[in-house]
Amino acid sequence: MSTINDSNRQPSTRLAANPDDNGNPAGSANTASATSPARPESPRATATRLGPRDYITIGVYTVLYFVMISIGALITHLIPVGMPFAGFACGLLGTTPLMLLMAKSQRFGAISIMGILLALLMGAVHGNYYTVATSIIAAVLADLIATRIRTRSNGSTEAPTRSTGVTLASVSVFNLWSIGMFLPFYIGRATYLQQLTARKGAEYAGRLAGLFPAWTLPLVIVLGLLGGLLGGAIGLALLRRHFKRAGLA
Amino acid sequence: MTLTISPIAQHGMLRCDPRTKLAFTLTVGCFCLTSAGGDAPVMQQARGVLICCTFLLLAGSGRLKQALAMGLFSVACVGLAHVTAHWHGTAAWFSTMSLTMWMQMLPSGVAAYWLMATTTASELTSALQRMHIPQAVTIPLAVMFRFFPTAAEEQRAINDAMRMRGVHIRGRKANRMLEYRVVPLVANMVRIGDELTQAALTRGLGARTERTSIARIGFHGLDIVLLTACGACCALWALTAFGVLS
Repeated sequence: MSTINDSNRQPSTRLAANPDDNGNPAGSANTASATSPARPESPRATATRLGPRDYITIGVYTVLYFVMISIGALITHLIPVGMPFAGFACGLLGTTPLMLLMAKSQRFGAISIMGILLALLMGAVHGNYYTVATSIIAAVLADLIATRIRTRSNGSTEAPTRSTGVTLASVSVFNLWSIGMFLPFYIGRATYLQQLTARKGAEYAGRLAGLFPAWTLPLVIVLGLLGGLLGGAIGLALLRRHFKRAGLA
Repeated sequence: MTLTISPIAQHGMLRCDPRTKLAFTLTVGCFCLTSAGGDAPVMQQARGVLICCTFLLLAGSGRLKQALAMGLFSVACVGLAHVTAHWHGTAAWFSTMSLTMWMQMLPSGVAAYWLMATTTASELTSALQRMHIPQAVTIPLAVMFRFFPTAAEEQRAINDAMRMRGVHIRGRKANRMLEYRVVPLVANMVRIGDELTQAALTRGLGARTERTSIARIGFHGLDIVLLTACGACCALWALTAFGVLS
């Protein structure tokens, strides 16, 4: 691929080709890959750097992701014992936009940037600084899983495809950002409960402490992973049924 | 009340630099939402001042109605919280839960609304650029600023269309809600996003050179006052943490 590119890049056409930022002519990438799946590697998949086009895509999908997880969080917070399931609901609803982003921008960095944006939003909206750390860590891990495993397994001339298992593993790991919402209950538990008691009364603090005894941390982690997994399954079904046909994925 | 970010944001009388707005919103979030600094009396007073400032800023930037509505709502919340403080049982759980949640989230919500309503995407971008934040973060952020209202608008339109077809909570096809709501929303947003990409790239968003902008940003009197207030809050926090003040 690189040799073809090099032979194409005559000095005269260099400006028109605009090689770095737009790997593809505008808009044609999706339709091309949808209609001819047997095509050799597309420039979008082989280029190593993200361009402005990807940045805009990331912004759009992050908005979608945030809208979906807000719905999930709202539902679980309205039910009295629903709070531990917030991560699960976020994964269930939010994974579809994430998978679309993964389908659209397959380079390293897209998921990480989404995680950083999520961290900024959660830091501003939720105000819990554990979430900032966990979302960045989880996103980078998910990004590594999604991009590194794929390139290692088939370095041949085949078009790089991400296996379904890798995709599901990646989105599950990404969903682990949600444990940051509950970490204050486990790390520095005594002081946090003390603050809660001072702020919201002993009854509220007692109820929340009853919801989150110390042994539930693995449970919350498993719930987070499971939410991501189930959301990924839903996302795959939706992707196959709707978005592939429409040329969006 | 519709949250629209017009290309010409309404600044009203009070014009601030986006960086000041960000710092102020973060400070409000830090002290009112997370209640950093615990409940020392000094911090409580600082929190009160911050909350008043938030409402005043929103009112002063030409959103008097919204500021009044939110102020009335928060006063009502405080009043109700006093009433329900003596209740017991499930009703108490529900009321305390929702009221405390509202009371805690409202100030930072108002601050975020002020930030969104008075900042244009180009102002935000050039402010972030001056802070030397890479394009990988500034472009998605600007797109997000642009897209939250769009998402809400599309969502509303899809809601209407699907309600007509019986796809709502109490309708015949409630089980299809996820699919029939999410798929059109995503498809629409992606299409709008593609169009936005074309427009932005045509206007040279990806260029290597530093972007110039006609957005007026810079620190003035009000910025200095607000930044000093933010700094003072942090200083108070540090002083109470080390036990100098109580």
